[in-house]
Amino acid sequence: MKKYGLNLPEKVFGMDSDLLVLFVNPLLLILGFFLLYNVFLKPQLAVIGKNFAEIKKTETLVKSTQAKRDYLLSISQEELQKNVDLVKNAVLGQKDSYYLVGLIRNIADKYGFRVESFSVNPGKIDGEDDTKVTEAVQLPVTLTLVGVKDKYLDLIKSMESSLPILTFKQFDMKGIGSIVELKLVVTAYYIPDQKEEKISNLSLNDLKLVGNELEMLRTISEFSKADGGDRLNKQSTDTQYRQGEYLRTNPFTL
Amino acid sequence: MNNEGINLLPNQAKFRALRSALQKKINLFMWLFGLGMTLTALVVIGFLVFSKTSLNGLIKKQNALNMELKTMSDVFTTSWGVKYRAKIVGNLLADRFEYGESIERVNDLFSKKITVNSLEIRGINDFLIDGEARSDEGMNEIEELIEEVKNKQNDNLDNVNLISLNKSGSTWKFKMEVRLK
Repeated sequence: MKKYGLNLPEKVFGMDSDLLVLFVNPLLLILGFFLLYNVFLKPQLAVIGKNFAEIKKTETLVKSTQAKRDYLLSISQEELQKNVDLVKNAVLGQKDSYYLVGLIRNIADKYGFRVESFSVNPGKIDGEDDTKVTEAVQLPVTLTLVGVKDKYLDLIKSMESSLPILTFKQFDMKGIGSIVELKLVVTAYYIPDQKEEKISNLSLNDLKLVGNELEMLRTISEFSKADGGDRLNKQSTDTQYRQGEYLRTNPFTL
Repeated sequence: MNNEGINLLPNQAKFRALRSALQKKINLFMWLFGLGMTLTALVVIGFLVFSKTSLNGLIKKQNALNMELKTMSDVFTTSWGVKYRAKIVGNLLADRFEYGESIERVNDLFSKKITVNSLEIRGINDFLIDGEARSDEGMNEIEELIEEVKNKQNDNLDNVNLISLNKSGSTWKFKMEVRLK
């Protein structure tokens, strides 16, 4: 028998070759399908899978970017500026211990207290580096203030509700008649600028103020801004030095 | 037909009929299989086109949003700065012990019959008080306070420890450690 250009015997493996040739076409079709699957469909299925994964990722990114855009559009410029001022005033503008002494002196003046002595501690105080807030640099100063006994509590409360934020690390009050001497270690803080970050790398959580932060802003908005002189407006570091002379302002003088 | 020959015609007819039925079934299978193959290929191509189009659309949308965000970079950077600082300042405030309030609570412990001469804060809520009572009534007040704390009846103090007590004339001088609740 001649089929597909081949001379076939009547029987192959005991089966009629006329019947066997019927299966050649379907087998070729199945083989064709496997070829089609491996050469075309399988790689395309991988591409589709990759595309869908990419779609999911991009959808999340689009949602997050939209949320960021919507939030930024919803912010009131006035409110933002108010918050900028509050957080800026909450800490020292630069690492300037003399400014801090001047600032405390100004508050003390209001309550009739005077700075008897002070020492700046550029380093840590032993046993007092107890803050958990590592992003903020502490600037402690040790002071002795003298004034009227009746006013010392008002002075302490005023210092605690001033901007920049002041924290007492040590407190010792000694009264002699109607006069008190306060020995204090007071710390203010300086926050170095944050590292530059790409806009796309930041999420909405990096922009949006949450409960306790809003609460903090409300709290410090009631604080009064204290001033330590105009040293911050000068291009100075802790101490200016020019022509063999340190230009250190005296915090005791007005 | 002679007697020696065998009549094969019925068998051949049966075989042809069987072959023809099988051929039909195989043809049907091939049609269905071919159709399935084509449909599968079409579905795959459809998904491919759909996924590519969707992805391109999303990428375009994302690029447009990024461009829009770039125009708002000032607000973005400012908001980020506010958030960064607000978080730190919030932690600083949360970490801070309010001495003014505590000192006020300590001062409120005593009436005008008692004068606090010195106050040292030894730790959070721990105070060392050096004071004097100018009369026996004032000293009674101190004793009552200590009694109250010992009997856990005082709302403000957790603990009190009288370190020293001196009498000079009618003035009682005392030194005590107190721990606020």
